[in-house]
Amino acid sequence: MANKVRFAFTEVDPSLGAFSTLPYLPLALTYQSQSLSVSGLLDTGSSVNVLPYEMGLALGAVWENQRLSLTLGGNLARFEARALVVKATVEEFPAVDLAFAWTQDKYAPLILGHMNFFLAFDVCFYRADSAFEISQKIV
Amino acid sequence: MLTTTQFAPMLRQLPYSDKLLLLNLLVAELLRESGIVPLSIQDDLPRQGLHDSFEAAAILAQALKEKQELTHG
Repeated sequence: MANKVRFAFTEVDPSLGAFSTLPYLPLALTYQSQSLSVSGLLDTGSSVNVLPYEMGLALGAVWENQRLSLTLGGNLARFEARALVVKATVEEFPAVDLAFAWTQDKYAPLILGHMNFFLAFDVCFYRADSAFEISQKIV
Repeated sequence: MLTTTQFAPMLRQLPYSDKLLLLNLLVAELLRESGIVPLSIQDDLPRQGLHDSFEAAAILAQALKEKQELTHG
């Protein structure tokens, strides 16, 4: 099992080069039997994980079946959100449960925030090198 | 529809308070059309962002706990 894995920041806008790099983490999300390979933005400024609406649907989740409703702040405040727990796999690390605020905003990014991505993984940012390292928390 | 030239003399005849109300109405209308939040109500809007959506985080913790109880019994 990998102890620590290093990733490079992702360049979002080639015309802006290094100024537009962000820490996107490639991971696989699985809900029931449906899996999806995605990239999530590591956001230490977000208290929650956020899953965009279409991604939840692609995972086979049914909106009406999610009974825990929650209210998000900021730009997502005007959209309804519900809690959805999915399995997440990063590289060779064992799969973990991640709880997402599944928002009805179709254009929201996939956000990995404090609850509970940063409780499941330790992340060390090397911004000057445009890289970050991840290790899984041993429970 | 009346033109501004036809309309202006009528506006001048309005009482002071009605002129103020009209001004307020026009400003509100222009702000609404521009999608700008008036300064007077900005303080009333919730300041919460994703950085302090702590209640949402507590609900996610509850969802996670329920899922783990289902899995592990």
